[in-house]
Amino acid sequence: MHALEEYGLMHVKLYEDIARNGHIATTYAYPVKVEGRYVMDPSPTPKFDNPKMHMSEALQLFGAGREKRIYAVPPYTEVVSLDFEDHPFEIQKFDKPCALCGAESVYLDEVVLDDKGGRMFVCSDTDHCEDRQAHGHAGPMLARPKPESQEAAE
Amino acid sequence: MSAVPLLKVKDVSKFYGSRIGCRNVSFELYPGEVLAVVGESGSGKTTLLSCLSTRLMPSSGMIEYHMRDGLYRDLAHMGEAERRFLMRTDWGFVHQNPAEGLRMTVSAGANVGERLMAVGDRHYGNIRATAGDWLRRVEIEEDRIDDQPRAFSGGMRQRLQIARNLVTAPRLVFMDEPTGGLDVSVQARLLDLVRGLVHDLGLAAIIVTHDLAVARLLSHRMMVMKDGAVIEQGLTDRVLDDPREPYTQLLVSSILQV
Ligand SMILES: Nc1ncnc2c1ncn2[C@@H]1O[C@H](COP(=O)(O)OP(=O)(O)OP(=O)(O)O)[C@@H](O)[C@H]1O
Ligand SMILES: [Mg+2]
Ligand SMILES: [Zn+2]
Repeated sequence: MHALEEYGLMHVKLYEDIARNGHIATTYAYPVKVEGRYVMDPSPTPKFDNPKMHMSEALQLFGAGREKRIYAVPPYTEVVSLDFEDHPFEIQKFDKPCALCGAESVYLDEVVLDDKGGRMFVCSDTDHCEDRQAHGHAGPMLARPKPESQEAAE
Repeated sequence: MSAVPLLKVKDVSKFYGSRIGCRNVSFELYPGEVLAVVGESGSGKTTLLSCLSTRLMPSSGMIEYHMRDGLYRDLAHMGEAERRFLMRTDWGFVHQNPAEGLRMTVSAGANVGERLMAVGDRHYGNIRATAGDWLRRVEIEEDRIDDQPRAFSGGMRQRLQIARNLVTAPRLVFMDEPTGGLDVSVQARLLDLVRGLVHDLGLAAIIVTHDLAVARLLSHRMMVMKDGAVIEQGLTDRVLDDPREPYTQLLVSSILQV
């Protein structure tokens, strides 16, 4: 968090990313500008969830470990991800829901199933995914006949 | 040169406890003017430069800067955010040791582009193109744009530091022994480059040096410091060719005999 409008440095990170990878490859600790003024690194929130911080109903807290401080973003605050005009902020788009719990518009990880190219996309947030499965949500690859009872046994 | 000073310095003193850093320094600097501050080690050159550039708070005296809006601002009463904005837009600071003025672990392109981003440039392609232009202007091959300054020679690092400072077209640049750590042949090339840039961009500059040849080559006017005080100042050619103070005479004769 940088209260003195030091946008430059955060943009340097993004510049380096594009210079190295041809696009902004940062997926975690993706910098945001709060209320058009303060720049911060919102980790551990993944980049994919940056848009959810904007005008959020909830009070959001972030620890800045090195400075031994906690920063609070009040409810209904403008939070915009930094970017470049010719490299706008984008989040990954997944064309299918989570293969296990069917959730949409969440961040998915690719899981390799076998050595014949089989793969599936599942929630990156496994707690959330298992919780959804326990509540009866199912995606196309969820093979277990009785997911609830198995979950309950744990 | 315009009729209004860019910087007005009045009776600036800095004490480190009871030790004198510099005392009662007064002068005015005009747009496009290059002032050399010379004097032996410990005479207060760096202290004065640090006070002028707001890196140190003077113990007394006043420094006023002519802002782009046409008003004079007392630097001591400037807010932190405003001061930082001034430092990265209208001013430059070239350190003797380039590692102090560069980010050694980011690319040359980002080192030059940082100030552009800090003043709101948001087009990656343009930032990169401008950085490439500036590398060329300071005689660094454009294909080094993604290399880190760690991989550069001392002379290249110093030229990169200069590009990084000049990219926002500042009006005033502070330099502390800009050729200090370099070989003689590398120094000559850098001095040539600085002279060309200062002239082309119409920069005002305050250059601290203990090397009278640097003062001769780059400056219009010079100040001679001794024990923290300015003992003589005037047009560079006048001071070097016809020094009035015995101490300056000593300084000049010792260098000319080398
Ligand atoms: N941080 C400090 N604390 C205490 N005294 C200091 C400090 N910095 C400088 N001084 C003292 O102030 C005086 C002026 O020092 P300064 O560094 O300004 O000289 P200089 O002309 O830049 O010398 P040099 O040519 O060696 O760089 C010296 O007596 C020095 O010892
Ligand atoms: Mg010094
Ligand atoms: Zn899921």
